[in-house]
Amino acid sequence: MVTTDEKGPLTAKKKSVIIRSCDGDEFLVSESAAVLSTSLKKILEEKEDRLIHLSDIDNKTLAMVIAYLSTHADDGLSDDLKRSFDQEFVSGKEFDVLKYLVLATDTLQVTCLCYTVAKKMADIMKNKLVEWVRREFDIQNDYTPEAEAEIRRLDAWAWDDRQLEDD
Amino acid sequence: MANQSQNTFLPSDIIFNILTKLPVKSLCRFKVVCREWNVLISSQDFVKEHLCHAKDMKNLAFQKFMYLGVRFSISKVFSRVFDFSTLNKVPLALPFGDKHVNAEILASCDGLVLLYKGRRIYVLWNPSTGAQREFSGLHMNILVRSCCRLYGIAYDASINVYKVIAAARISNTRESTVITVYNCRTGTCTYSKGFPYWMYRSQQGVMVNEVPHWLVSHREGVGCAIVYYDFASETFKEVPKPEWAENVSEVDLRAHNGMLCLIHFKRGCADIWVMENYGQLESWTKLYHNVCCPGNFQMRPIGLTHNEQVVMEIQQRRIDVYDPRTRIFTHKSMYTYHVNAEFGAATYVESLVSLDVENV
Repeated sequence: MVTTDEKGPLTAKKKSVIIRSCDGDEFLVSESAAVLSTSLKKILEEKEDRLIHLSDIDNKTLAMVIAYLSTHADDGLSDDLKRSFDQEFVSGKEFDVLKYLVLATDTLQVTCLCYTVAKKMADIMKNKLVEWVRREFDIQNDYTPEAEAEIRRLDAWAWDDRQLEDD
Repeated sequence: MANQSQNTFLPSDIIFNILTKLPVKSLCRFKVVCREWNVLISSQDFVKEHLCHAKDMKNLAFQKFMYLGVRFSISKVFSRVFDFSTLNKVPLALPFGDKHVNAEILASCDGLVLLYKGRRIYVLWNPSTGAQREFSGLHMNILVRSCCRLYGIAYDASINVYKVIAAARISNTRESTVITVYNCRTGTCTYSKGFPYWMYRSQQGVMVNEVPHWLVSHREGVGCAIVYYDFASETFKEVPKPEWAENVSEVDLRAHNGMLCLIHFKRGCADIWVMENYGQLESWTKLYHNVCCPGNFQMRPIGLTHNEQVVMEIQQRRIDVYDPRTRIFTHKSMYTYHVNAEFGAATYVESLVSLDVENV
């Protein structure tokens, strides 16, 4: 366990909290990083407890969110460096990983990361086939073939001249 | 059905959030994914949120600049669209084809563009979705191509409708100015006379703070004022201008990075000023000092690039990228438009905003 000192506002920044993922692993996070998440901030305001259990976020995803929070809580980094960190952070990540990440940022209410991840997901999706989208989002096609043909006909221009990707 | 979408892994508010960041073309295809997505993408809430994302100047892929060019030898007009994220241009087919060599681009707002087709016919057009509507009656059906004219499109939030504002100085008196407001929902025009200012040059409205602005004089050749159309009072109102602008003739009004921008031309160079806080006189700031373009051509900023360079339109016939740090212009594209240089090009955003006449 971490010892928490209560010496007042001067040492407030040094305080830490422990966050436990649904897999049971624990992460030590500075309070200044944790409060960048609106949900964690609320929890910390409401209770003295320094251990927060997140029942729906797995290890891998939580580690990523915490890396993001810690970087953004670092006063030594310029805004430019933080911006390039954000770009680096989402680049090259699999769509599947991003799905869990966007869900976690939504739960934890980390607005700017949620925005960055959603934007990256949109960027990956934009040239994909409809079938790819259905697969990735686990959506059943509920159109009749006639109804689907009709929707395609209305925006026929959107379907031509483009190489759509399926992977 | 709150957040429990059928079968989906992600709740519908996250889906909404992701989809608002997609280009219009992808969204039109993704209406086919399932019925729920079709309803979502077609909803007014979605269109508004998508527009909001598109209008954020940081999202360069949604910022466009369209321009017309005429080839007289074959009597054809062509148009191109310049993309600020790639700095590339691609052809853009006009809704009425390439035969109307008198075509003009009169105004732009929220992804809607107002075009003049010719023969007193105007076209409201969304270049991203292709939606269009022709209408006539603007300027009381008077042929005004040689007159001094002002145009703008704005969203009247009090009644949820887009309106076109047009003014034309029919003869050489202030009193002869006809002001027309075209209601895009009802398709009707209302006319009024007596514009309290002197129009000295045809202009597209400069969209800042959701309303179009124009540069006018108090009297013929005297003073200058920045005015906008106020729907609530149905009058033109003024925005404070910097003191130096009172008695200079070589000045141009534009929008830069979402701010009102005055370009002060002097001996081949220009100072570029912006109003950092809309409506506040003391927030007028000189952003770039003595910008000198090779050839001393007139220039106006039309947008930004990824690395904070400024895209400039030079003498209404060239697109250059200006780097404020090195003060160097880099040539990107060239075009010619002769008919009425004020109405040959416009910036617009990629949006889903529709022109449907709603059931009133």
